[in-house]
Amino acid sequence: MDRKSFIKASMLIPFLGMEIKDFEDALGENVLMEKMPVLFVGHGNPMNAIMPNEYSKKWKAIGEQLPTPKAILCVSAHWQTRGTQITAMPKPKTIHDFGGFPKSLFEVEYPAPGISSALAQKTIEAIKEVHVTKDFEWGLDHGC
Amino acid sequence: MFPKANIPTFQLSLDYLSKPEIHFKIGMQLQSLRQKGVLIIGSGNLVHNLGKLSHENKPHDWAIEFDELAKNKILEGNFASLVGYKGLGKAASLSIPTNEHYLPLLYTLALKQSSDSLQFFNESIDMGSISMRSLLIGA
Repeated sequence: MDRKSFIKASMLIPFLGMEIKDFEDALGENVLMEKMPVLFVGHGNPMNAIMPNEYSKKWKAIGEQLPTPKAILCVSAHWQTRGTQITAMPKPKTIHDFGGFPKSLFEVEYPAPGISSALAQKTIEAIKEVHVTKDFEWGLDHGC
Repeated sequence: MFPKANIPTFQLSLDYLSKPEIHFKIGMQLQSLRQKGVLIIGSGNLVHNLGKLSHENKPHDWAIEFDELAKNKILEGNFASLVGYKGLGKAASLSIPTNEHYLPLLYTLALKQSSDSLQFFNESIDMGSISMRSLLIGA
């Protein structure tokens, strides 16, 4: 082995003996990135989701300006529970949690995937203030 | 915001029984997720009183007053007084008749570090009693 390939091979040593899952973690969610921004969004009328207006135009512009996140965590006014929970299902359903709006709004689907179990676990571990449980029933409500 | 719907997304619930201080502390503890590439979004409304909607779209004086007061507290970095919103007078109690739309703001504020920039957007009051004021932190 020449010097160059020896150095290359030795770079893999830290990963030897890792489970595949850990290896993915090391490449994925464990890698420290530049801090993501944080948002508070006044969502208001559910119709803002489908009406092109000053609010939704700004949402679109902000989405284009932000770095692409690895995941999105939404703390919505519309999910109140007994105890603190996080959604942990692979395919969260779109929840149309309102009444008296046009059919077109009820037809909106937001089929974003759910998160990895590793990220769910990390979130639960990060929150030391309260005990957090995983939920498999909710989905993404109109606040999200 | 992300119309392709291709980014893994999850929600954190609001415990009915937790006090505002607890919501703020939970928010602070989410800080490490920012460095893992997680975009945290609080979604609600700073002023939200559906019983006082105005069909003429004219903002109530108390809605303007509390929206402005909250804006100034945010700019001063005085988040503790926003956590203790119940001590902020009549405009606050009319703006926050129930706190589920207000609490997501506390999560966002809890995540602001001194080095983070702060920008407001959608600074208006819709239908008389809904503040659309939004915040972008650390961008």
